[in-house]
Amino acid sequence: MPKKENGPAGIVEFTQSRLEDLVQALAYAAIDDFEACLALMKGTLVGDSFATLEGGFTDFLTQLVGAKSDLNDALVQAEEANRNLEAKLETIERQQAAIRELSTPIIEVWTGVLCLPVVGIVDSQRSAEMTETLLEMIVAKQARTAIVDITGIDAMDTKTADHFIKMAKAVRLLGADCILSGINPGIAQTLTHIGVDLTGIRTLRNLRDALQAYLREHHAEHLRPADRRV
Amino acid sequence: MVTGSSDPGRPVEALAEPVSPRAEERTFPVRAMGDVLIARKRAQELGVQFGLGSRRATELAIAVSELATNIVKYGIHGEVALVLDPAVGVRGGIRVIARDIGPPIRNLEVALQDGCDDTGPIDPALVLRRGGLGTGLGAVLRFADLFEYQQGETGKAITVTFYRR
Amino acid sequence: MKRSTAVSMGSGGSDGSVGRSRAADQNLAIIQIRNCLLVSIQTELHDRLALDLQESLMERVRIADAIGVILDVSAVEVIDSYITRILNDIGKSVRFMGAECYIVGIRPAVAMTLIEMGVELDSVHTALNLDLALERLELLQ
Repeated sequence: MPKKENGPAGIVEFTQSRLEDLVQALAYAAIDDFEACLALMKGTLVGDSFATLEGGFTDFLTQLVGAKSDLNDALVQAEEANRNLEAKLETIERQQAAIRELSTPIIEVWTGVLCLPVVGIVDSQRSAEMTETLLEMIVAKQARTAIVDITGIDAMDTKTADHFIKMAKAVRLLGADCILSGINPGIAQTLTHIGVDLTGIRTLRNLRDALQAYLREHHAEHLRPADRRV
Repeated sequence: MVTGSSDPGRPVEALAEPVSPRAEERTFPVRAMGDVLIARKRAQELGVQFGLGSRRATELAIAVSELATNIVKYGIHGEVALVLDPAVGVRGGIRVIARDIGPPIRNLEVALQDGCDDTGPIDPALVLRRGGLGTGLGAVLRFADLFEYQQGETGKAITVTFYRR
Repeated sequence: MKRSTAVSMGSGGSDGSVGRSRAADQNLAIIQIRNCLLVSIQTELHDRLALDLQESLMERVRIADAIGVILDVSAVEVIDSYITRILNDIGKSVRFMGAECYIVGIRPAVAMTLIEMGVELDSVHTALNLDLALERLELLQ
């Protein structure tokens, strides 16, 4: 690369090679090879007005490289943040599903009628918690009937099944009625296996049957006063 | 089937059966009840995926739930690893390894009895105060095909196996 | 309480030398509501006290021609097999006088314990609250 001395101001020592170098540098820049591009431009030392262009171009390129590098860093950070966020979202989704299963809502379907729909995985801790909550709600609401629906349960340990029976008996001891609905063949097998005594506890196939049975039996209570034949 | 061993020098990581190269493992850290919920949900899903059938997968999930809950209650913190191994038993199976850094189970035979923890029978009134039924380990024993207990200086591990039938 | 007429303290002492029975001393007031008697059990029911209560109730049922006795146990935290027997005994003796006995206000923890123990409260009925017990007693007429 030819090096030129400072010529008189305004006179450009213009050579074909300087122009070619600039074009070559631009070509390198175009393909993102900034190293080669800047290496090429560093060779220019002449202080003429063309050099101003070369210098300006070099500055511009250097800034561009800096900006690109910053952008790249920011992108990497953003990607990582995104991955973290996705992982957290996934955890939240799973936890929400688990919480839905865990928090068995006790619904008061009518005045004095509580419904406990049980879904998901029932372990010993959960069945103990459910029993406590149900019994306390019966007292709090003075509910006369509790319908425990276990349609959503696939499998239950024998002792847990026994515990559900005890729950029903405790409900009756408090002075309320207990209806168990949704006993599938698997659970029925478990109950038979542990030789459970179901006297006093009504069992019905599904929740709808249980609710209908309740309505039939307590029909008169829910009539408007004018309709009651007393 | 229960095997117990008490060897302070033996690391808790040792398993009774070797893990085959085609086995897949998923590990869930367990520190709080939220972790129990995640582990048991995933266990149920993996059980179904692995071909255990809906009911058996739920039994697996209950076992995982009981073991993980015990880690939270007594084991300070630990992890539950699910190893899906096609080479276990005749048709493959899922191994559940519940490890924690807590104290060893003092009286395994007593703890395995329903209505008891390892100090003895649980007062029925306390059942209602969220102590659980005291049937956790009993349930695990009833559901699983194989039950192993190991304790070492760094903690303890309970390994149960569910064969694919 | 919907209806109440006379409020009277437990009397008819078991041993003639004391004007009031121990039941009254321990503040086991027997309240009359129409044709039923209500007792709110606040303290431990042991030995002498339980017998006193039983005798007082039988006497009051006779005097008032009551159709029912309602025992409110909402303040009782522990009912063991011994108390269960006392309650069953009260139920039987009251029945002997032609009335029925209802227990109201059993606490959840108490209910669970009773079921776990496998004891049967077979000589008494249970109801959620006083009104329901009165309703049932009237239906029995």
